[in-house]
Amino acid sequence: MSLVEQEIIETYLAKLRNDEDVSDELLAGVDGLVRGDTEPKSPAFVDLVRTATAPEQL
Amino acid sequence: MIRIVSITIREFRGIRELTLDLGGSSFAVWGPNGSGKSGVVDAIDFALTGDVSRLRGPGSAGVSLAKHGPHVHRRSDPAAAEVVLEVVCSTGARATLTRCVRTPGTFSLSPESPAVRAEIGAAAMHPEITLSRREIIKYVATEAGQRAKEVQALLKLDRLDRLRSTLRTAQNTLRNETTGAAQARNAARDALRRHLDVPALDAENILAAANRRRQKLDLPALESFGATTDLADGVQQSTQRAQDKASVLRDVSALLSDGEQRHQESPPALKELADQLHRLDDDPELMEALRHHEFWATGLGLVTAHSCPLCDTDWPDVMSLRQHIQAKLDRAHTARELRSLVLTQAERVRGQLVGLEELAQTVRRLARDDQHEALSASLDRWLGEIRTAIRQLGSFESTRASSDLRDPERLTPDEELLEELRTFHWAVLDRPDHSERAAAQGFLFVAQDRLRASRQAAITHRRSEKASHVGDVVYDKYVESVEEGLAALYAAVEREFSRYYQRLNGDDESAFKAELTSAGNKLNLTVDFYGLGMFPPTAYHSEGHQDGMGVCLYLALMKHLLGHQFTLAVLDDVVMSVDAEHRRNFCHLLAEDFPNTQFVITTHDQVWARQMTSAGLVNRKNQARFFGWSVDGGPVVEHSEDFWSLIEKDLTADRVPEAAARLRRNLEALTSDLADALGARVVYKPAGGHDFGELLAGVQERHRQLLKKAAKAAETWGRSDDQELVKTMNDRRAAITTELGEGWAVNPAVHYNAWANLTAADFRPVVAAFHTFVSQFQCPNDECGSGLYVQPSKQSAEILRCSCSSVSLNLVPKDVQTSN
Repeated sequence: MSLVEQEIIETYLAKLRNDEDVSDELLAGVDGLVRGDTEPKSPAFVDLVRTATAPEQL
Repeated sequence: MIRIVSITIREFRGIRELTLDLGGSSFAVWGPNGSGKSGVVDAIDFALTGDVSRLRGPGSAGVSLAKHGPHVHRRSDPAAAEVVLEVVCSTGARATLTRCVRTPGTFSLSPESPAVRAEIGAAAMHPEITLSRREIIKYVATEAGQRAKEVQALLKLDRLDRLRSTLRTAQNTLRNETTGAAQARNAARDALRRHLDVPALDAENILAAANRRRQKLDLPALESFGATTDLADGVQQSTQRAQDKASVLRDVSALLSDGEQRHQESPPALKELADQLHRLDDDPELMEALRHHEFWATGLGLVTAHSCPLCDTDWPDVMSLRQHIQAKLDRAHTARELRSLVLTQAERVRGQLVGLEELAQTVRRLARDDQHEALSASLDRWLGEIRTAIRQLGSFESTRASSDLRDPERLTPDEELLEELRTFHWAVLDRPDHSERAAAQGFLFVAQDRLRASRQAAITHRRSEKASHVGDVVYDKYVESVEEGLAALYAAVEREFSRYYQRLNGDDESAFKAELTSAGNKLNLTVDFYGLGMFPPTAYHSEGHQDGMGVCLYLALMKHLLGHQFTLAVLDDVVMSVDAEHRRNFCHLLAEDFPNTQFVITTHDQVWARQMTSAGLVNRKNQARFFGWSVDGGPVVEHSEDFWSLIEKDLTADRVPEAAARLRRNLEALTSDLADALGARVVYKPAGGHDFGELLAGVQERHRQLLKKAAKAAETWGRSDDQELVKTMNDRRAAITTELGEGWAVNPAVHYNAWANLTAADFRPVVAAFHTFVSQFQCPNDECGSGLYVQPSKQSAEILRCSCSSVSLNLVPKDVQTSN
């Protein structure tokens, strides 16, 4: 990961952390996906969002 | 990242065998064109990446590393072609890397060191550390879209772009799920509304319909309607539920009516969709345009000459080729608009089919309960077709691939099914009416079932909406972060780029500024032109200035890409269009702003090679002069040494005439550089060609004046350390003058015309005297040894300095500076 990419990802995660719609579970999941060794695929994000969107929030 | 300690090249490109000792410091390879210099660049490129960038790209068709990497005499023996690099990594660990053309994908390392291997791996990820003029110009003289791609590739932003695309796909998936869930919710609400036989599904209507039946069952009326309201609350459960005849009739009638309407005329949305799909079928070029949109957009940016960058076909002129590609791009825009229409229409049709599916499913259940097996089987088949269509309408690709959706009548129920529905409708009508109580009981049970299904569909929809909203947040925040990050990055690069360019051209463009603005997938670069406005860099600036911009932009980008890891760059004749004076500024820029970077620089220009030394960018011993290249022998290389050492070697071998000629040549070059660097006044000669004496007088006088100015300035500023340094330098100057005598160097008695006739013993003191003499114009720090120079170089000098800043003397007195 390049320096530029690292800085942008850090900013991104900070923005998610400050968003009230983003749960801790979702943040941890996104963090793991975007900083993982392999490039994440879209189904992984879809599953993560589905599971991290708690029914009690409805 | 690594630095190169030495390189050995064997049977590679134009080189048979060559070793250069770089010592981990900047190094100059100079010599005329065709002397084999670029073989060194290719060798470093190959050793680090396993590839040679010069053998790829436009104009390299049919050329490959395997076939053309080895020396032409060993072209069938790739095992003989290898490059050995001794490298040192950031921890100080050293190792020797050997890579062979036969196995370019791997290299051996001795001793094996994970730290060194990791840093070599990092260097391999950055082939841009090797830069040629062809590559620098792509940052400047290129179309904005292509510049964005080049800069993104250099900054390794492609992964960011792929992640954006992945998140966009996830966002679309979640949005599509929400659309599907909304359609299912609407279908469930329709089923409930139809059953209740109310014009709108609101609490008042629902309670009124339910309470009418509850009254017939002597049940208390429901007074309010909420999320947990049970319409059938208190109704006695029975094993056999009576169907509400009127409700069944409404369901069957609704389906029959829909079917008959479809039989008469296909739904407009379906017809429109079919028409759009036929338009795509009728014009295969539209789909081709859709598939090739990105390709053509990229291609248009690559067109800089009249030959096609892909197939090398020559066109009458560059404009014709651009117009040809632009026409294809316009066609692609039309195709994209049609694609958007297909998607919108597909969503409408899908929503209608979801409602139809729900209705047909209800009627099939009723038919099965009533043992109308033929109708149930026919509805099963029709439902299969409807569900297939719903699936196909989920994406553009599957919609386009579906042959069923091209035939609007394909989803029309056949006459046999309609007849069966009519029969069922009559059969329901003919049923004896239930008692009012049984009918009310059946009505309330079905109402509650459909209310439950409607609530479940609403929950699923809300959950999908929530997930879709979060999917939007995850995507939008990412796009926002990337845009902000890139804007900040480009702003920083813009500042660095402007500053570097100002240093390069401070004499006439000290107020230069650049603007790097990102717009969509384009990166626009505009630059100031002598305060007259901002223009594209190719608009008014000369080729030499454009080269300078390319290198400055490259350096600014590399600084942000690698930060402190920017320890190695190989510059292959990158500023050949830049004139001598600006190249000297370039040397100072590299030496002073990138002190931790090892530059390996090739040039055909001897003056620049000399400037690299005098500016302190390259140590005197870190040069190799290439000349006399031949196919059989490769380049003839002279490893540069300090010329004083070479003179001493000549004298030791009693070669006095050679020593004298060498001293004369080097003194002329040295004083020429000093005159330029210090801004010395010399008598103007239209053809140039000043001799040593003329230059030296100007240099001596200028040096004296500058020290005087520095002393005065230091006094007004109260800088005791500067005063002390000036005093030391002045004392040294005076001592040398006293020792040798005023005008000694140009005294005919010691003039070089007579040197060739001296003996070695007589000539040694002359050499020693000159060595002492020129040292007064150099940095007193032996590690630096660079020549002194002034800044700015053309206007009134403000600073007298050396490359390491051991000498950095203000020349402007306090009262003058503050009044400015």
